[in-house]
Amino acid sequence: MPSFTITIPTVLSQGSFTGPVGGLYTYAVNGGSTDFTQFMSQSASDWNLSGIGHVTFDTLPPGFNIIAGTISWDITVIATGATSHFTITDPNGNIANDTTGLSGLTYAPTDCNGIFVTHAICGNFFGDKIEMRANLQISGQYVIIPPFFDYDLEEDGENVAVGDTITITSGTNPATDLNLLHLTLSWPCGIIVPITQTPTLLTFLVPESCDDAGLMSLTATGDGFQFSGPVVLGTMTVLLTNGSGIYRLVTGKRNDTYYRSQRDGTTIDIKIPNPTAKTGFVGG
Amino acid sequence: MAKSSSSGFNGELVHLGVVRMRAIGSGALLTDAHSLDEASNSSVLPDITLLAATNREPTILANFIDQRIQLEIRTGEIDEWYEISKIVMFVRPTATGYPQ
Repeated sequence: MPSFTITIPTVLSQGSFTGPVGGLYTYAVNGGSTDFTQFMSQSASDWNLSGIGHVTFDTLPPGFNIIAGTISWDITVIATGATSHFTITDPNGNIANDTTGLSGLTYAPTDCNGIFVTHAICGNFFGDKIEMRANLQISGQYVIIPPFFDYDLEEDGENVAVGDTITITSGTNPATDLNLLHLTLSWPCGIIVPITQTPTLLTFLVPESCDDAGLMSLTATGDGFQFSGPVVLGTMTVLLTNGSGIYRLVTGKRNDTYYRSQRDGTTIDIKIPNPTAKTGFVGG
Repeated sequence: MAKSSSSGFNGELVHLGVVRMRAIGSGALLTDAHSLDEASNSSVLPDITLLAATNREPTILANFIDQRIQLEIRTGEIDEWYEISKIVMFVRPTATGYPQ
């Protein structure tokens, strides 16, 4: 099954991101001297990336990959005798613990979808109240890895003729399969009008204008749903169809001349199939 | 004693080593050597670049052995043509025959 690489605009190929994520959280515990543990949790799926239009981690564009990140926080604990701890757990079960308490933690998420941040304040504190302010933030670097979209052009590399059905099929995985509903097909020899166009099936007939067009590249232009701009899906050789005529011997003529099938009076010269001569046999 | 054939050979295996021809035309002249029924073929003969007028009779090397050998000449592209007025095939016997 062939695939092609989408070219991402260079400006998005690599960069950094930062922004408030999760906002300011404040909570307080009233009481006297006691042991306690207080948790605060925030799912990373709500966090926004600045600079690329508030893209949340769980709806990242194809190919977006975080290669390094820092989850940091700025907390204030109004109490004595209490300690603060953060724990970050990603969907793969990786756990990062902050043991210093108050500053931040460098962490390279392997999968930001579903990161779970837990903050615990614990200890034996003295006073009327413990108040904690936490401003969670994630920053780091990202890359856009050009994604591949699989599809199958059944006639790729083959000889076709006017009236033949060209079929493109694809799967249903939006991350790896080409969505055929969001394509516009074109090639140099004429306009392509799809007969069937669904996310997984696209068919069209080779138009009359392509008769004997030779080697044609089939180009798909994306509408931005998965990609933008043109990509080449494959090539086909469009042969002459239904050529006809009255055979006439012409002195010195070195090719055959056919009338085209469009019945418009135009003709085309094609080669005489390998004019061959053979000698007699020599030897015993 | 067996009677010789008119060609001077009598079932021997002959080796085709050289072909020389007087040929004019346009394009590339493709040549092959075949045995009877084209059961054995050789396509190692080099192509000849044809000219409409030339003072040379091109000589091409071959390496083909069989009892009887036929030379095939053709062109393969549109608008190519050739005109051949003489073909000389240089052969010599290399064996008395195939094993019985």
